[in-house]
Amino acid sequence: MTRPDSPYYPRRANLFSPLLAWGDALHRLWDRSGLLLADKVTVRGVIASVFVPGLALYLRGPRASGRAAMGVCALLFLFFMAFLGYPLGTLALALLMSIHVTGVVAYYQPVVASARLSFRLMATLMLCALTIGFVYLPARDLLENRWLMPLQVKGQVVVIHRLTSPVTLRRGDWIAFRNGSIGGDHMYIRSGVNFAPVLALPGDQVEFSAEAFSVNGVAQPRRQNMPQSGGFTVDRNCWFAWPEFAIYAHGHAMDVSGMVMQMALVSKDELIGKPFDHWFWRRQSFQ
Amino acid sequence: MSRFINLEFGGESEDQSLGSEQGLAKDEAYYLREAQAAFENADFEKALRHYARVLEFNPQNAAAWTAQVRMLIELGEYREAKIWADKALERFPQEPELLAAKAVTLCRGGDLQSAMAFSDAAIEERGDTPYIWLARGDVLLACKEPRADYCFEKALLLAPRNWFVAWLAARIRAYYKQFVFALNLLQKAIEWNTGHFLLWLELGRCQESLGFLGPAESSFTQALQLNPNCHAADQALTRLLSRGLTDRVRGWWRRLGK
Repeated sequence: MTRPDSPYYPRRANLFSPLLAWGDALHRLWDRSGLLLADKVTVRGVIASVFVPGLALYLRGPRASGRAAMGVCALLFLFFMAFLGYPLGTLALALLMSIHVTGVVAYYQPVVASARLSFRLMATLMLCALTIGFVYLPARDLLENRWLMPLQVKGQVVVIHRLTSPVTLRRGDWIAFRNGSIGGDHMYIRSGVNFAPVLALPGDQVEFSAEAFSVNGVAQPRRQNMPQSGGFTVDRNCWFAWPEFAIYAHGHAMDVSGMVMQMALVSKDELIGKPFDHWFWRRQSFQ
Repeated sequence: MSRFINLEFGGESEDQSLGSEQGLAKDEAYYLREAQAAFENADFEKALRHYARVLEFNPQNAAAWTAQVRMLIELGEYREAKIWADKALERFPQEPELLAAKAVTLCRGGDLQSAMAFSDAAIEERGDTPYIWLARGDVLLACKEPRADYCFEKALLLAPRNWFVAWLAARIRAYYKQFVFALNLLQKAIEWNTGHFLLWLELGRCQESLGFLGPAESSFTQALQLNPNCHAADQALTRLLSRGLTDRVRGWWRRLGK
């Protein structure tokens, strides 16, 4: 396809023209579906209002209260992030979702206004489900899997940074890691999330004795349930972190050190991340 | 073939030889003639460039704007045709043929309601040209309305014994896979202008689509005899000779469906 420089030569079709034509056709189909024929309800508005909390109220007007709603949503989001993991944060999120969903329903109001009550109720429920299902649940998964995760540790919330590269870990850094369920002689450890400092890095030599354990020859106080003899070299892509347990036992004493040892060697896949030093104004300390 | 063949360098090469040899002044009328000649030879790319030249001389030439939209339609670039039609309509909002061309861009793009509205507007503007009725027929065929036949008849009535209008009507019929109607129109066109290779080429295509492979071969051969440089006819003949049994059955089936 050529495009001579004449201002009277039309723009010609390119590689994306068929796609754009399909887009136009879909847009027309959507317009004619009857869902968007009401006053001031547009495709862009619907999409944007589902993804931006408070925007629907701004679009539906009056603009001043819409702006206020968007401001409140922004504040609630900040509040939710600041108090992530606390009941106050959960409350902020619930309020944010309420304003968001109310806005979306209000935006669609002209479309369903003339419909029967049962249809209106159904439409409202569908819009709530759509907003939560398409925005909040994926956002939560994305947040927890890719960015950060709040953990309850000894009565306080610790926010873990999921993006931490394991290469940057140093001895003494606190880490969160997963453990699978482990079964042994009269004992069973459930799967869950642990939080402990890194004691040895890949390649380090660890030795145990009755009073202490040493990493590359540097002795440290022995931790609860640690083996009393032996030693090993930490594998590549593994970190040694000794989790703390509250064990309640009756009857004959059990040797739990073998089972805890399985959990203490943390592989790359089991590693969740490292806590932020600060979360907003809070300093996160775990000693 | 040079890869720069489609570029224009001021006084474009293809016209330079013709124009200088014949001592013709390369003005608006010259490019309009050239564009029309290219259109009548189904060289839509060339016609598009020549119409652009016409507009460089006279941007107020509504017929050239309309023709450009029509060239884009013939090239199958309906989205671009619509954009160009909108641009032209900003200048000539009540030009009946332009409104008709816009109707065709819309119906080929699938927007039948708007297409009908533009076609109505074209007729309301008292446009009584063959193209307006051809465009109307195009829109009605897209809407699957039987009134389309009347529009094509009306177009042919407005241009009696005009092979070009009959050919255009046949192209529209063929676009909507109405090959039998297209065949009839082409036969009329050939009656009025036997010596044009394009009509034989188009006739061959229709016959091939209907499974009349023998007559199609004969039509393509005629086209090639009339214009030995016609690559389309050459390619069609080669394709025809390599067709298998499945294609023949498909042709019979299509004829039965009519």
